[in-house]
Amino acid sequence: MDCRHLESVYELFLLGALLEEDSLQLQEHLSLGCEHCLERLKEAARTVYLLSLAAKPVAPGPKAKANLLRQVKGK
Amino acid sequence: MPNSGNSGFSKPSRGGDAELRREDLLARVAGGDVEALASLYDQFAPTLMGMLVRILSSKLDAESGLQEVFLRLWKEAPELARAKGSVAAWLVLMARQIGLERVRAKRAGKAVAAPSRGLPGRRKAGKPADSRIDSRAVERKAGEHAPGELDLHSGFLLAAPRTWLPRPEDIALAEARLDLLQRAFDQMPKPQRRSLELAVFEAYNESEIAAQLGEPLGKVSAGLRAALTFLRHRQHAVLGTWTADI
Repeated sequence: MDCRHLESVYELFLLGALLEEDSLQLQEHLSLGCEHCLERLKEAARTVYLLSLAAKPVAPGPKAKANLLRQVKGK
Repeated sequence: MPNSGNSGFSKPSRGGDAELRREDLLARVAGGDVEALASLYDQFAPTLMGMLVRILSSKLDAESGLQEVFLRLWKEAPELARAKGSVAAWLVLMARQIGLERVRAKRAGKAVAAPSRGLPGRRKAGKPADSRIDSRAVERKAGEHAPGELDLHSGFLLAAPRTWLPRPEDIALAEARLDLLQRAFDQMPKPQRRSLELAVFEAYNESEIAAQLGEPLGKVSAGLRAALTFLRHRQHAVLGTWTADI
């Protein structure tokens, strides 16, 4: 896969919005260790992080944290 | 991104542990410190919960997903700390992934069982992740999904080394300039913003977005790519990679 055709797909890949065939091709390319693409993926991860902050925060239920910690401590 | 369930961008709270850097907390979690995990939970749970409620349209399902995020963090912390990537970015991406898997399973009519009471054992530091590791495997009823059916992103997100994770300082800089970034998002053409919202919060892929909007796939794909290119350029401006008037 030619990196020049990938410039606009990294964010869609991390969002899970890329079509499956394209996503598999990108993963295959990334598995080769392409430094340019990994760097772009890093930038895309920041964008996805920021986009996700647009959701209104919601407090979990009062027992959620205690349930989590109980599970972790049980191990 | 003005839409129901959105309130403008808000960075995760640092709670009562403002003096403790997130990555320090991650290092402590990697060492088995439950209180450090609780501190990260306090900082990020409302943000992650907000995302999961938007994606899953259910507070109950979102709480279940939230729990899975932090159980995975407990398990993955040694490897994550070694990678020196941003724990904030990892948490958000993992929460997205879990939400995406679950909503797609729902849409496909596949029931997802309640989380197992058991907790997968922690992976030893330095041991590469198995791309097939997926907590859903212990959550689902036997035979519900064959391994080959696991979401194709899970393996990538869980694989080590995570050299593609943003650095903590990059995330901190982006958060410090969140108001400027909000303006950039607001400047996006409405049709593109709507497509992006469907991808970010409804977990639809390009083809599904096209179907939702009744638009040709090519037009939707081009619009999404243009929107994300626009955001990337604006981020470069806001974060100082190059200057531009926004």
